[in-house]
Amino acid sequence: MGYARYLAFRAINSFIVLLAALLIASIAFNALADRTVEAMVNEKVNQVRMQIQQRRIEFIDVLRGVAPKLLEWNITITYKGRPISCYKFTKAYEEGKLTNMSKDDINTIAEYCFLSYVREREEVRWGLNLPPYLRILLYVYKSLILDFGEAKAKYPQFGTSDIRAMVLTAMGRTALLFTTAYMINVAIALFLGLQMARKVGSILDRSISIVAMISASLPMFWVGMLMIYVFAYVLKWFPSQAMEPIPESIRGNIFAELQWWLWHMAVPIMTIVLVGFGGGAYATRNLVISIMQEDFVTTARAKGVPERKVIYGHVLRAASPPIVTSISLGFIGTFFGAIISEVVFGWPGMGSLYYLALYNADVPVLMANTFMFVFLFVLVKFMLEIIYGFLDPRIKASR
Amino acid sequence: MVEWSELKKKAIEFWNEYRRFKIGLVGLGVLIVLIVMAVIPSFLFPPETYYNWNNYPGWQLNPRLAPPLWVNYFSTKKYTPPETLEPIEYEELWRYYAETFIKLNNITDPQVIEQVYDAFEKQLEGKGYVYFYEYDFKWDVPSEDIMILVSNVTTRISLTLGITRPIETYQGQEIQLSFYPAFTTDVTATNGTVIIHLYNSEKLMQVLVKDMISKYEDPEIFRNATENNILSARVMSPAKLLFYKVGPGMIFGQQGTLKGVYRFNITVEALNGSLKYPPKIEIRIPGSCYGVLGTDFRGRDIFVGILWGSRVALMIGIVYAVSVVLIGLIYGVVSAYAGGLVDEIMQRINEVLYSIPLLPFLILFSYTVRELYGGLTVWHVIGILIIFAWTGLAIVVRSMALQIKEQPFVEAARAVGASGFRIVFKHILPQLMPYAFASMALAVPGAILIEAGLSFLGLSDPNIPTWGKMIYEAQNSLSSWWWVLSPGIMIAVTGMTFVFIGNALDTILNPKLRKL
Repeated sequence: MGYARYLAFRAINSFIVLLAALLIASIAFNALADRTVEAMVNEKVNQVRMQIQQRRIEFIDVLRGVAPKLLEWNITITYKGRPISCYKFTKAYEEGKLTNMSKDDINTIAEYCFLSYVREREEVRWGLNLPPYLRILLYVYKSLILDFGEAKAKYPQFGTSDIRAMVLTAMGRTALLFTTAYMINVAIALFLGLQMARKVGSILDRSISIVAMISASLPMFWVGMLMIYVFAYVLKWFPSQAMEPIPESIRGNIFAELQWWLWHMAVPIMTIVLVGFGGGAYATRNLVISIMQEDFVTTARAKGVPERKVIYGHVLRAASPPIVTSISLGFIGTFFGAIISEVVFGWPGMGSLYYLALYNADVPVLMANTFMFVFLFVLVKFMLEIIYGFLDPRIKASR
Repeated sequence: MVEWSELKKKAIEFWNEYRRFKIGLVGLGVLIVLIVMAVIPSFLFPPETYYNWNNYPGWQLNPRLAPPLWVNYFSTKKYTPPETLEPIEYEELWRYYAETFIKLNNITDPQVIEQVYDAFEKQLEGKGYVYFYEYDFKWDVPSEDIMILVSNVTTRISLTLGITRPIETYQGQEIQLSFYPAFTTDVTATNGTVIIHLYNSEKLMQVLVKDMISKYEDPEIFRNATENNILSARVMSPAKLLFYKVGPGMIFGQQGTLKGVYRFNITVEALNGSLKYPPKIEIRIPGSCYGVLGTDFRGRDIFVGILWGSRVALMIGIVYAVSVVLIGLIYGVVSAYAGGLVDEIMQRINEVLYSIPLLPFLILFSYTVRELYGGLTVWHVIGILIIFAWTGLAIVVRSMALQIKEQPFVEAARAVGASGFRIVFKHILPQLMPYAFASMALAVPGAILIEAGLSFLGLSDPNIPTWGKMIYEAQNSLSSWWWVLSPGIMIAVTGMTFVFIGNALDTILNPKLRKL
């Protein structure tokens, strides 16, 4: 009962955070919208014009298909200095009242009308006709249903121009890399942290503590560059770029493909672990030490419980919730550097997508990636809270 | 109210405590070095190197991608240090021509000599000058470029370069190569300095091919090279070839460099009118190593960048840390003191902000600011960073303030009618100051790392040197260790400095950790 309530509370909290983050992001997007959305609308209008011309369709024919919308949006154009209501024009054409106009005139008016209709439609789609606050809410809604539209530039590493598919691919790849690195990191941090806590002041304890302090201030992308230099250029053990396409010969062979992926992920993972493990081990050590000073540990020792059992049975059991949280939070802290190092490694994840979107000044992709990042972050934090609640018996017992 | 003498006593007490932490002392020492590093560039370098880091004109005189000067102490191959050659002497053109004429024709009769001088003077008086230079070359890695720096030009002139190499042996014979004219160009009148580069001069290349390479290079290699169009200034620098010993494989430097005294002469002739004053002409050998920390691919002095970068980093780190800690402190204390509904609302806001990931918002807002205001400065980045990063501290401060609030002395203050403002600022905040200082020190590295990361994505002030930007630009030149390593090491050292100081403070102020 206690756990369910805890979960429900956490879920609502996460959702509020998500909404707030999306809202803030949408405000920024709205500030950028004047330029970018305008450009996107113009581009769409041009695209439609090209399509119609290529297919050799008369504008007047497509215009008749959208007549109700012309009335609804009251679309008027100015032709040869005279204002013309597009709806009336279409009706007049259908009733055959336009015999006194030349065919060219009719076609030009139809083209103008249809293109203003497309512009209006795109503007409605992007909410340009709405007041700013509604527009911001529209962006929040659109990002919640993952409607991001089409990318302006080409992103061959992601294989599609549909932004939704693109950011999902990027997110998957980032998640793959970081989950792997995270697992390794936790294992190393737990092992080393316990060893350090058992022999406080030993050489291992001191050296890892110093490593932790040093690695906390190392820029990960820089370490990544050095690792690439050493492992890819000097030793030539691993590839310098992780972005290579899978060769045809091993496609379908799961084992070979897995090996191929690991081979390409090796340098990034080594870098992330190298920068992250010290901090994790140090946090574990401190938590274990503070738990070891608790009375129940002394009692267990006094009862004659073997030291090994005290450490793994009593101390680790009590220390695991805060350890999980603190290692994870520390790891999320390194996420910033790590996502930027994707650029160095050529790993086609969210960091690379950020880099490319900034390079191309592709605001919709930038926004989509930001939304996705927020989703991922909130999701990971929520999952951590689930695990925390699961590990901490006090939460289950509470009502 | 804390008395001044008591404050002093406390400070001395604190210092005695702090002194016991070696790590803290190391941190403090490095911090002082860093502050010195941040201050001295104002006195050492022109300010333009800071706000026009990318295009400061002085960089043109430097070699590109050159290792530091001190590599020569460790490397068996000696790199050419940069050098500017002043003319050892210069003569008026008519005198030089007359002397040459006399020498060539073996004129000995003093009267004829006089006549020759007169004739040349009448013809060429004020027409031009000849400059002579000597360059003692004793290195293994030659300079990529040779530059001719021309200033004080009052009229349009033509400039001709002649080069004489030292004596060398080729197949048992002593030869001396001399090129005249090795290079010619016109220079228009100017107030500033005209820089003429020889590394991309096809003219010089053609002269070298004709007079040196075609004669002394292995015929097979020479034929291959001409067929593949390697012997072009676009592919290899003729200025570099000039310093290679003749013999098979010379175009690839396989014969090593020719050491000895190189003689240059530069003839300057007015194309119309006359030259009243001799122009100032120097030959600049940019060399193949440079300065304390070498140069990058644009010839920018990395040492200068590192020093300016330390100013930017310290500024970002300290402004960020102080602001974040102050905001967090006040927010947390006010929230704790106010209690009730206000506390609840403030905590909800805080929690939401705290849970929002920092990175995407930094990227998004930096980009937005850049697009909307047409440029990004360091202050924008710091501002955005502060807006999103103060929350973590506020949570801790609130819980600490809640404990302090319940202590008797606060109750006593309230009982004697102290205002809420006074209680918060005179009684609760001072108790939290030690923690605040430790947090400040620990917050600095994060800000520096984040700024470096944003620079890496291109979201930083484009005109000034920052460590992150230097790393970013070094990305494709990983073998230039002096360029890749120095900014990264600086970031790491700066971060560590503050971590050391922060940890020492933390241990002093947090007695629970001290037992460990």
